Amino acid sequence: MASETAPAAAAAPTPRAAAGAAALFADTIAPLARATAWIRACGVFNGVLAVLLGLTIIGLPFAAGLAWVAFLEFRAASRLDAARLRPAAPDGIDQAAAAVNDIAVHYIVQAVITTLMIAAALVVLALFAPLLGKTLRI
Amino acid sequence: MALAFALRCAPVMNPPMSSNLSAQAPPLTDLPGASVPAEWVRALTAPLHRRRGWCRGFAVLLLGFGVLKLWHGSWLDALVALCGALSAWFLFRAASVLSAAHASLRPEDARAGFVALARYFMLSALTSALGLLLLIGTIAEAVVQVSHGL
Repeated sequence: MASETAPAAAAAPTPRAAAGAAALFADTIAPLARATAWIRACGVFNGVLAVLLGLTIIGLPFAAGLAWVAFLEFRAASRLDAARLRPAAPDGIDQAAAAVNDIAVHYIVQAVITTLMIAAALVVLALFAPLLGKTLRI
Repeated sequence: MALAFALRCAPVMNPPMSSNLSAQAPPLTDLPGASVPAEWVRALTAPLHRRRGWCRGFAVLLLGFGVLKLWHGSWLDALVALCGALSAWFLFRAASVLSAAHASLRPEDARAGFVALARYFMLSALTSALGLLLLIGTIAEAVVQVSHGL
Protein backbone atom coordinates (compact mmCIF):
# COMPACT_ATOMS: atom_id res chain seq x y z
CA MET A 1 0.00 0.00 0.00
CA ALA A 2 2.90 2.31 0.84
CA SER A 3 4.36 1.74 -2.62
CA GLU A 4 1.01 2.61 -4.14
CA THR A 5 0.54 5.87 -2.28
CA ALA A 6 3.99 7.19 -3.15
CA PRO A 7 3.38 7.68 -6.89
CA ALA A 8 -0.08 8.98 -6.10
CA ALA A 9 1.39 11.65 -3.89
CA ALA A 10 4.01 12.47 -6.50
CA ALA A 11 1.35 12.85 -9.17
CA ALA A 12 -1.01 14.87 -6.97
CA PRO A 13 -1.60 18.27 -8.53
CA THR A 14 -0.85 21.52 -6.79
CA PRO A 15 -3.95 23.52 -5.82
CA ARG A 16 -2.93 26.16 -8.37
CA ALA A 17 -2.67 23.63 -11.20
CA ALA A 18 -5.98 22.05 -10.17
CA ALA A 19 -7.68 25.46 -10.17
CA GLY A 20 -6.18 26.23 -13.57
CA ALA A 21 -7.37 22.93 -15.00
CA ALA A 22 -10.86 23.45 -13.63
CA ALA A 23 -10.92 26.99 -15.05
CA LEU A 24 -9.83 25.79 -18.49
CA PHE A 25 -12.43 23.04 -18.44
CA ALA A 26 -15.15 25.45 -17.27
CA ASP A 27 -14.17 27.89 -20.03
CA THR A 28 -14.36 25.12 -22.64
CA ILE A 29 -17.88 24.01 -21.74
CA ALA A 30 -19.08 27.56 -20.90
CA PRO A 31 -20.80 28.27 -24.25
CA LEU A 32 -22.96 25.16 -23.96
CA ALA A 33 -23.40 25.41 -20.18
CA ARG A 34 -24.74 28.96 -20.57
CA ALA A 35 -27.31 27.75 -23.13
CA THR A 36 -29.15 25.43 -20.75
CA ALA A 37 -32.19 27.72 -20.78
CA TRP A 38 -32.44 27.28 -24.57
CA ILE A 39 -31.95 23.52 -24.23
CA ARG A 40 -34.79 23.40 -21.68
CA ALA A 41 -36.93 25.57 -23.99
CA CYS A 42 -36.36 22.98 -26.75
CA GLY A 43 -37.40 20.30 -24.25
CA VAL A 44 -40.61 22.17 -23.40
CA PHE A 45 -41.54 22.68 -27.07
CA ASN A 46 -40.79 19.05 -27.90
CA GLY A 47 -42.90 18.04 -24.90
CA VAL A 48 -45.83 20.18 -26.08
CA LEU A 49 -45.49 18.73 -29.58
CA ALA A 50 -45.43 15.24 -28.06
CA VAL A 51 -48.69 15.94 -26.19
CA LEU A 52 -50.34 17.31 -29.37
CA LEU A 53 -49.17 14.27 -31.33
CA GLY A 54 -50.34 11.96 -28.56
CA LEU A 55 -53.82 13.46 -28.75
CA THR A 56 -54.14 12.27 -32.34
CA ILE A 57 -53.71 8.63 -31.14
CA ILE A 58 -52.17 7.71 -34.53
CA GLY A 59 -49.21 9.86 -33.58
CA LEU A 60 -48.59 8.07 -30.26
CA PRO A 61 -45.35 6.34 -31.35
CA PHE A 62 -43.95 9.66 -32.53
CA ALA A 63 -45.19 11.30 -29.33
CA ALA A 64 -43.31 8.70 -27.28
CA GLY A 65 -40.14 9.40 -29.28
CA LEU A 66 -40.51 13.15 -28.87
CA ALA A 67 -41.14 12.75 -25.14
CA TRP A 68 -37.87 10.82 -24.96
CA VAL A 69 -36.13 13.64 -26.85
CA ALA A 70 -37.56 16.19 -24.40
CA PHE A 71 -36.41 14.07 -21.45
CA LEU A 72 -32.89 13.78 -22.89
CA GLU A 73 -32.76 17.55 -23.40
CA PHE A 74 -33.82 18.23 -19.83
CA ARG A 75 -31.32 15.70 -18.48
CA ALA A 76 -28.51 17.16 -20.62
CA ALA A 77 -29.34 20.66 -19.34
CA SER A 78 -29.30 19.46 -15.71
CA ARG A 79 -25.99 17.68 -16.21
CA LEU A 80 -24.47 20.74 -17.86
CA ASP A 81 -25.61 22.87 -14.93
CA ALA A 82 -24.00 20.37 -12.55
CA ALA A 83 -20.76 20.45 -14.57
CA ARG A 84 -20.78 24.25 -14.57
CA LEU A 85 -21.25 24.39 -10.81
CA ARG A 86 -18.59 21.75 -10.07
CA PRO A 87 -16.00 21.97 -12.84
CA ALA A 88 -13.25 20.25 -10.84
CA ALA A 89 -12.31 16.85 -12.17
CA PRO A 90 -13.55 14.18 -12.31
CA ASP A 91 -17.07 15.21 -11.39
CA GLY A 92 -17.53 17.98 -13.92
CA ILE A 93 -15.93 16.09 -16.77
CA ASP A 94 -18.15 13.05 -16.26
CA GLN A 95 -21.26 15.19 -16.05
CA ALA A 96 -20.37 17.22 -19.14
CA ALA A 97 -19.44 14.10 -21.15
CA ALA A 98 -22.76 12.50 -20.13
CA ALA A 99 -24.59 15.67 -21.19
CA VAL A 100 -22.92 15.69 -24.62
CA ASN A 101 -23.77 12.00 -24.93
CA ASP A 102 -27.44 12.78 -24.18
CA ILE A 103 -27.37 15.49 -26.85
CA ALA A 104 -25.82 13.10 -29.38
CA VAL A 105 -28.43 10.41 -28.63
CA HIS A 106 -31.26 12.93 -28.91
CA TYR A 107 -30.12 13.74 -32.46
CA ILE A 108 -30.36 10.07 -33.37
CA VAL A 109 -33.90 9.83 -31.97
CA GLN A 110 -34.91 13.07 -33.69
CA ALA A 111 -33.43 11.99 -37.02
CA VAL A 112 -35.29 8.65 -36.85
CA ILE A 113 -38.59 10.25 -35.78
CA THR A 114 -38.37 12.95 -38.46
CA THR A 115 -37.66 10.39 -41.17
CA LEU A 116 -40.55 8.20 -40.04
CA MET A 117 -42.88 11.20 -39.83
CA ILE A 118 -41.97 12.32 -43.34
CA ALA A 119 -42.55 8.79 -44.61
CA ALA A 120 -45.91 8.63 -42.80
CA ALA A 121 -46.90 12.07 -44.13
CA LEU A 122 -46.02 11.04 -47.69
CA VAL A 123 -48.09 7.86 -47.33
CA VAL A 124 -51.06 9.82 -45.96
CA LEU A 125 -50.74 12.38 -48.75
CA ALA A 126 -50.54 9.67 -51.39
CA LEU A 127 -53.63 7.94 -49.97
CA PHE A 128 -55.85 10.91 -49.18
CA ALA A 129 -54.84 13.77 -51.49
CA PRO A 130 -56.66 12.29 -54.52
CA LEU A 131 -59.79 11.83 -52.40
CA LEU A 132 -59.73 15.42 -51.20
CA GLY A 133 -59.01 16.76 -54.67
CA LYS A 134 -56.50 19.36 -53.52
CA THR A 135 -53.06 19.53 -51.98
CA LEU A 136 -52.87 19.10 -48.25
CA ARG A 137 -51.01 21.63 -46.15
CA ILE A 138 -48.37 20.02 -43.95
CA MET B 1 -9.35 3.99 -3.89
CA ALA B 2 -7.13 6.98 -3.21
CA LEU B 3 -4.72 5.76 -5.86
CA ALA B 4 -7.47 5.34 -8.41
CA PHE B 5 -8.77 8.84 -7.72
CA ALA B 6 -5.30 10.37 -7.87
CA LEU B 7 -4.43 8.58 -11.09
CA ARG B 8 -7.66 9.78 -12.58
CA CYS B 9 -7.29 13.37 -11.43
CA ALA B 10 -3.60 13.82 -11.95
CA PRO B 11 -3.53 13.95 -15.74
CA VAL B 12 -6.67 16.05 -15.84
CA MET B 13 -5.41 18.62 -13.40
CA ASN B 14 -2.14 19.39 -15.14
CA PRO B 15 -3.19 20.87 -18.46
CA PRO B 16 -1.24 23.40 -20.47
CA MET B 17 -2.70 26.55 -19.00
CA SER B 18 -3.21 29.96 -20.48
CA SER B 19 -0.55 32.56 -19.81
CA ASN B 20 -2.43 34.38 -17.04
CA LEU B 21 -2.73 31.18 -15.03
CA SER B 22 0.77 29.86 -15.47
CA ALA B 23 2.88 32.86 -14.53
CA GLN B 24 4.62 30.91 -11.77
CA ALA B 25 3.98 27.43 -13.03
CA PRO B 26 6.73 25.29 -14.53
CA PRO B 27 7.02 25.22 -18.35
CA LEU B 28 4.22 23.26 -19.93
CA THR B 29 6.50 20.78 -21.60
CA ASP B 30 8.01 19.85 -18.24
CA LEU B 31 4.68 18.84 -16.74
CA PRO B 32 4.06 15.12 -16.69
CA GLY B 33 0.50 15.64 -17.85
CA ALA B 34 1.15 18.37 -20.41
CA SER B 35 -1.16 16.76 -22.92
CA VAL B 36 -3.90 16.54 -20.40
CA PRO B 37 -6.76 18.56 -21.66
CA ALA B 38 -6.52 16.06 -24.48
CA GLU B 39 -8.17 13.52 -22.19
CA TRP B 40 -11.22 15.50 -21.36
CA VAL B 41 -11.47 17.06 -24.82
CA ARG B 42 -11.60 13.52 -26.14
CA ALA B 43 -14.23 12.56 -23.56
CA LEU B 44 -16.34 15.62 -24.38
CA THR B 45 -16.15 15.37 -28.16
CA ALA B 46 -16.33 11.59 -28.56
CA PRO B 47 -20.16 11.22 -28.39
CA LEU B 48 -20.85 13.74 -31.14
CA HIS B 49 -17.83 12.62 -33.15
CA ARG B 50 -19.13 9.03 -33.17
CA ARG B 51 -22.62 10.16 -34.18
CA ARG B 52 -21.64 12.94 -36.56
CA GLY B 53 -23.39 11.11 -39.40
CA TRP B 54 -26.69 11.23 -37.51
CA CYS B 55 -26.18 14.91 -36.71
CA ARG B 56 -25.50 15.74 -40.33
CA GLY B 57 -28.47 13.64 -41.43
CA PHE B 58 -30.73 15.49 -39.04
CA ALA B 59 -29.29 18.82 -40.25
CA VAL B 60 -30.20 17.85 -43.82
CA LEU B 61 -33.73 16.98 -42.66
CA LEU B 62 -33.98 20.37 -40.92
CA LEU B 63 -32.88 22.07 -44.13
CA GLY B 64 -35.54 20.10 -46.00
CA PHE B 65 -38.11 21.28 -43.46
CA GLY B 66 -36.95 24.86 -44.06
CA VAL B 67 -37.34 24.50 -47.81
CA LEU B 68 -40.80 23.00 -47.34
CA LYS B 69 -41.83 25.91 -45.12
CA LEU B 70 -40.43 28.44 -47.59
CA TRP B 71 -42.52 26.84 -50.28
CA HIS B 72 -45.74 27.60 -48.38
CA GLY B 73 -45.16 31.30 -48.70
CA SER B 74 -46.47 33.21 -45.68
CA TRP B 75 -44.01 35.47 -43.85
CA LEU B 76 -44.28 33.38 -40.67
CA ASP B 77 -43.51 30.25 -42.70
CA ALA B 78 -40.52 32.05 -44.20
CA LEU B 79 -39.31 33.00 -40.71
CA VAL B 80 -39.63 29.39 -39.55
CA ALA B 81 -37.79 28.33 -42.71
CA LEU B 82 -34.98 30.77 -41.98
CA CYS B 83 -34.64 29.64 -38.35
CA GLY B 84 -34.76 25.99 -39.40
CA ALA B 85 -32.11 26.44 -42.08
CA LEU B 86 -29.84 28.41 -39.73
CA SER B 87 -30.19 25.83 -36.98
CA ALA B 88 -29.38 23.13 -39.55
CA TRP B 89 -26.24 25.04 -40.49
CA PHE B 90 -25.12 25.38 -36.88
CA LEU B 91 -25.81 21.71 -36.18
CA PHE B 92 -23.77 20.70 -39.24
CA ARG B 93 -21.00 23.04 -38.14
CA ALA B 94 -21.09 21.76 -34.54
CA ALA B 95 -20.75 18.16 -35.75
CA SER B 96 -17.85 19.09 -38.04
CA VAL B 97 -15.97 21.26 -35.52
CA LEU B 98 -16.39 18.79 -32.64
CA SER B 99 -15.25 16.00 -34.93
CA ALA B 100 -12.17 18.08 -35.80
CA ALA B 101 -11.63 18.78 -32.08
CA HIS B 102 -11.71 15.05 -31.44
CA ALA B 103 -8.80 14.76 -33.85
CA SER B 104 -6.84 17.86 -32.75
CA LEU B 105 -7.68 17.45 -29.01
CA ARG B 106 -7.47 21.20 -28.47
CA PRO B 107 -9.85 22.75 -25.90
CA GLU B 108 -10.39 25.86 -28.06
CA ASP B 109 -11.64 23.68 -30.91
CA ALA B 110 -14.05 21.94 -28.55
CA ARG B 111 -15.17 25.36 -27.31
CA ALA B 112 -15.87 26.49 -30.88
CA GLY B 113 -17.95 23.34 -31.40
CA PHE B 114 -19.93 24.03 -28.24
CA VAL B 115 -20.55 27.62 -29.37
CA ALA B 116 -22.10 26.26 -32.58
CA LEU B 117 -24.11 23.71 -30.59
CA ALA B 118 -25.42 26.43 -28.25
CA ARG B 119 -26.50 28.53 -31.25
CA TYR B 120 -28.23 25.48 -32.70
CA PHE B 121 -30.26 25.08 -29.51
CA MET B 122 -31.20 28.76 -29.50
CA LEU B 123 -32.39 28.66 -33.12
CA SER B 124 -34.02 25.28 -32.62
CA ALA B 125 -36.06 26.65 -29.71
CA LEU B 126 -37.13 29.62 -31.86
CA THR B 127 -38.02 27.32 -34.77
CA SER B 128 -40.04 25.05 -32.48
CA ALA B 129 -41.86 28.01 -30.93
CA LEU B 130 -42.78 29.49 -34.30
CA GLY B 131 -43.63 26.05 -35.69
CA LEU B 132 -45.99 25.39 -32.78
CA LEU B 133 -47.57 28.81 -33.34
CA LEU B 134 -48.17 27.89 -37.00
CA LEU B 135 -49.54 24.48 -36.04
CA ILE B 136 -51.98 25.96 -33.53
CA GLY B 137 -53.02 28.54 -36.16
CA THR B 138 -53.64 25.78 -38.71
CA ILE B 139 -55.67 23.74 -36.21
CA ALA B 140 -57.73 26.82 -35.25
CA GLU B 141 -58.34 27.56 -38.93
CA ALA B 142 -59.48 23.97 -39.52
CA VAL B 143 -61.81 24.13 -36.50
CA VAL B 144 -63.34 27.36 -37.78
CA GLN B 145 -63.85 25.86 -41.25
CA VAL B 146 -65.47 22.74 -39.81
CA SER B 147 -67.77 24.79 -37.57
CA HIS B 148 -68.82 26.90 -40.58
CA GLY B 149 -69.48 23.71 -42.52
CA LEU B 150 -71.70 22.41 -39.74
